[in-house]
Amino acid sequence: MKTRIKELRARFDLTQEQLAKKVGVRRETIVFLEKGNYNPSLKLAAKVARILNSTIEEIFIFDDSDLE
Amino acid sequence: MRSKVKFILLLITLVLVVIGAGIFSINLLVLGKSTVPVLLIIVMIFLAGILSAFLRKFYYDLKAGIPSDDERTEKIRMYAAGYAYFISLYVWIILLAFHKYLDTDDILIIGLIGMAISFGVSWLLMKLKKGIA
Repeated sequence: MKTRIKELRARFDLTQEQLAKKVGVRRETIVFLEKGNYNPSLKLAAKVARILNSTIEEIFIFDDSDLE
Repeated sequence: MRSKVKFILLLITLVLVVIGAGIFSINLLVLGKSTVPVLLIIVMIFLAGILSAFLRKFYYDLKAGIPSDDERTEKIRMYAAGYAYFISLYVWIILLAFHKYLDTDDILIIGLIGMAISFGVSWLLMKLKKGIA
């Protein structure tokens, strides 16, 4: 899974900590999400998408291999 | 609020661990046993060190308004508990196999420490694992 969190976060001029605070998670969770090393729940994905003013599909990109 | 309660509970645990292990060690020393108290004090210092480092981080997070738990930490804990449960079963089975060579007290202490270590190791591995779903 790839994510565009880092790119969108930079667009909104947010640090990882600021985003973490807004979403209500720990900073490490944002780090793992940015690297695509954590599959978030639908609720968390929706929260991140809402804060970054995007849709879930725009932020979390799944390859065919991820869905197998 | 939940984080504050958790912080206070951890602080109380740390104090109780130190006091409890201290009293236990003094009692054993009075009884003339010296190996176990020394071992216990080393374990206690190690545990207290880990707990105080954890508490320090917890305190700064609390001050910064960062939650102590989120869905990832809860998943990590859940997975770790699951793995630790199965590892603990094996620990107890192995200990039962050696029950003729060990005292009941020793079996209980080793078993409980084994359970705690298995949870700690599982938690650490889960924390570093990529792609937790």
